[in-house]
Order: sequence, then C-alpha cells, then structure tokens
Amino acid sequence: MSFIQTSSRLSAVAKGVALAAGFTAVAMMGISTASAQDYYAQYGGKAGITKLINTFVGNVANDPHINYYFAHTNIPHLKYELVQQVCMAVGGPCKYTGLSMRKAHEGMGVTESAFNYLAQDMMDAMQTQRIPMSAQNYLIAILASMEPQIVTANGPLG
Amino acid sequence: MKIMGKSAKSPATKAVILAVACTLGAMVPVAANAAIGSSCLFGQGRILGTGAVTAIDGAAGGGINPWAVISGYGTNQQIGATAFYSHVLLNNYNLNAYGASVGLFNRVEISFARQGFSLGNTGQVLDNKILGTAVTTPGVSFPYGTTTTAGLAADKAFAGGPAFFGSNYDLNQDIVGLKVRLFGNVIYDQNWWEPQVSVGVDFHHNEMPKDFAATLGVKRNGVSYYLSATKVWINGLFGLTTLADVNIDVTNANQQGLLGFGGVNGMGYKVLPAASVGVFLNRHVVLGAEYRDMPQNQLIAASGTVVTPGGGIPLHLGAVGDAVSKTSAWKDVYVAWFPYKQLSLTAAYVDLGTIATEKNQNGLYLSLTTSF
Repeated sequence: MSFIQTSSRLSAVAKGVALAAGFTAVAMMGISTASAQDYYAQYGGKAGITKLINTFVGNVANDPHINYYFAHTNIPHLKYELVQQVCMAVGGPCKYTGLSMRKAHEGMGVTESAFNYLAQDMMDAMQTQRIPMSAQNYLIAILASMEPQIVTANGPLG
Repeated sequence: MKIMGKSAKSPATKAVILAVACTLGAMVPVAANAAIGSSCLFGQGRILGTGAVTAIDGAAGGGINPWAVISGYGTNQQIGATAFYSHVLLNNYNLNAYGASVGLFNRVEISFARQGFSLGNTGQVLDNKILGTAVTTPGVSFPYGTTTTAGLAADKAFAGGPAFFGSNYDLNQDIVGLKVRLFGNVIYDQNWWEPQVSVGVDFHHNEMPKDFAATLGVKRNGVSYYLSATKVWINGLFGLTTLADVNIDVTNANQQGLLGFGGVNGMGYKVLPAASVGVFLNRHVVLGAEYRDMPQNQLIAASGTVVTPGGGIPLHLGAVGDAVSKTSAWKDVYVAWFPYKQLSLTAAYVDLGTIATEKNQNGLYLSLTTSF
C-alpha cells in the first residue's frame, strides 16, 4: 500500500512470526459483517454525509488544538472533498478525485497529536449525527489506517 | 532532543519558545515553519481509552495484566503521567495498591506501585491452622497467644506464643516497573494483523520480615519480565471496538510477589501465559475479562521440622508447606469507564483462587486512574 507500511510489514514479520499465528486467528473477528452499501445508508446517504461533514468541520473550527491550522483553508472546497471521500469510503456512489493523503499532507509535519484531535472531532460529529456505532467504527478504522500517510512528525524516540 | 522536526532555529531555542507558548496556553504556530499541530511537551494527544487503566502492579493495562500500551495519553512527542488507587475486597483478605507512572513519548513507561495485602482477622485463622498442623507432639497444646511476633521463625513463635500473624498483619511490597514499546500501534495498525508489542520488567521488593522469608524459603526481592502483545480492532466484533492482549510472563513471583520470590527448590522462574480481552460498548465503556497464570513454587521445606533452640518442641512446618504453596491463576471480568482522558474507573469481579491456604478468594475490585 505505502512504503512505510510495506517496510514495517517486512520488519514486523521478522520480529514476530510466533505472534502471527495467534493474532491471525483472532483477527478473523475483525472481519465486518455489513457490506459497504449498508454503511452508506447508515450514514444517511449523501445528505447525511454532508451534515456530518458540516458538523465535523464546525468541531474542528472550535478545537483549539488544531483549528489554527485551517485558518487559511478554503473551507467550502475542503467540505466538498471530505464529503466525496467519506461517501466513497462508506460505499456511496461518489468518486474522490482530490490528492492522495500522502500528497495532501506532504511537508506539513503533521503531528500524531493533531491527527488524533481531528479524529476525535470526527467521532464527536458522528455522535452528534447519531451514526450507528458499527458504522462509525467502519469509517474510523479507515481513517486510523491512514495515519502513516498523514503524520510525518517524529518524536525523540521515533 | 529533536522535538520540532526540521528547523532553522536550534531545537533548544524552539523548545523554549514552545514551552512559553504552552505556559501561556497559546496553541499557535510558534514559527512560520513550525510543524503542524506542534504540541506541548506535556500533553494528552492520544485517543480516549488508549492509556488503558492501571494494573495492580502499576503498569498501564487491565486490572491484573499489563498491556503493551504506554501509560497516559502522551503521543510520540509528549510526556504523560498517571496516578492510581485500587482496592480488592476478597473473602478473607484485602488487597490495596496505589502508585504513579510516567509515559515518555509513547515509547517508555516507568511506574511505581505499592501493594498492601491485609490478612485482617484471617491472620488468627492462619495461626491456628499452622499450629494445628505443625505441633504434632502428643499432649502439648498452646493457648492462643497474645504476643504477635512478626514472622514465622519457629524459635520466636515458640518463645512469644503461637500468634504468628495476629489480627492485623500486612504483607507489603513495592514494585518499580519499566516498559518499552517495541513496535506497532493499537490504533493505527488497522489493515493487518500486527499488534502493539512491548517488553516490561518489574522490580519487586517485599517487606516481609527476614525470618518469615527464611521460613517460607523465598527471596524478598524479585524481578519479573513480560512480553505483551495488544491488538485493537476499531471495527471489531459486531462492529464494536475489540481488544485482545496476550502476555508471556517470565516470573518467580509467588502471588505476584506478595508471598516472595522462588521457593525452597530454587529460583523457580516459570514462563507463563496471561491474556485479556475487551469490547468497547461505546467510546467510554469497555467490558472484558482477564486471565493470569501464576508460578507454583514449593514454600517451606517439605522435610521442615524446625527444632526450637534449647530442645523445644519441634514444629513440623513442612506439613503446612503444601497448603501454603497452593496458588491459582488469577481471573477477572471487568467494566471500565473512561468519562474523559483525565479519569478512568474500573470495577471487576476477581477470582484469585487459593491464597495462603484460604480457598475461593474472590470479590470486588475497584480502581481509579487519573491521567495528566
């Protein structure tokens, strides 16, 4: 998928072959039972997703941890891209044509902290919009897995 | 320390500016080329729940098992800290623990815990059991003594009366823990199997009297090791966030060190499994269960006839040894509540099995962790 994931995947295989057996078995639990189409409906279709993104962007604007970063962002454009992206991710009839996550955040030095506060703002928005928990988790899991492409700032211990 | 990434200014200068900005509460970019989301060194930038609660040994984890997560909510650029208090009400004993920890850059955790295991009235019950078993000379009986001697040394017990523990005996131990995350991230590793994996070491010091330790045949200081692998599926069982943790403990701690380390047959290190599971019903409440195996070391020499000085009556303590040595795996079912990052409350039903001859040591576990 990405360079970082591929390289860490290789090194991790070397690190824990024994762990693999146990966790692959347990990982079967993680397989979702609902199809992506069901999630699109659970998000309330395009209208629901638009509401969600409006709430989400409002949360970000009110979040002192990260809002300053979006001070010069073209908000209507951001909202449009987010709606397309979420709509596509939950199986809706949309196509996200914006930059890749890696390209979009290149050179920004996005921190893990900023990433997490943004994720928290999304979770809060989902709660406000009363998205069912499993549908929330479907999207949050996708968002979480994007972290290596978005967060590039290292700490003192990696 | 490179806190800010690439920078024209020296890291030290930027760290000072950042510290000032943090102090003022001004979360603003401190320089034109500042990293996005540059955060305070002391922060809580991780996701709610990822600091877990505090295990009885002081490490971040469940109630009885440490997990691979680092305590507090600090990200790779932040330092977090926690403090905890736990109380376990068992049928015959009380166990309480308190302590604190520091999580450094989501990589290293340093923890301290002090445990107190109170025998309460059970001390007298144990005294009678010991004497009932150990004094085998016909025709000799001891009235229940009023003098409480700290420790099981036969000579003292004999001289001071048969009350080894008396009515308010406490076994205390201190545990200093160090945990290092090796690889993986519980939140970000969602597309494949890799768990977050950490190694930990616990340095225990049990405060039991020396002669008590000598009679049991145990060491008062011990070092335990563990490898912990924790996996979280955000979209797990039934679409709920699901956690599984598997630990490998390398330890010689009897009842987690409350009864010392090793036994009469040597160091007694064992490689033992432990596991925890949990399901998040929502972002704030997790339900789960835990299991932790314990080493079975022989305490008190089997041939242990202790002859008291001056040709006194021999106490056959060895006969008590098998009963005292009996150890069970620790188990619990728990519910933990994370109202916000600064606080978590855990309630559990624990089953610690047999402890110091008393069977069915189960009861209520309550724990509070506060994070900074």
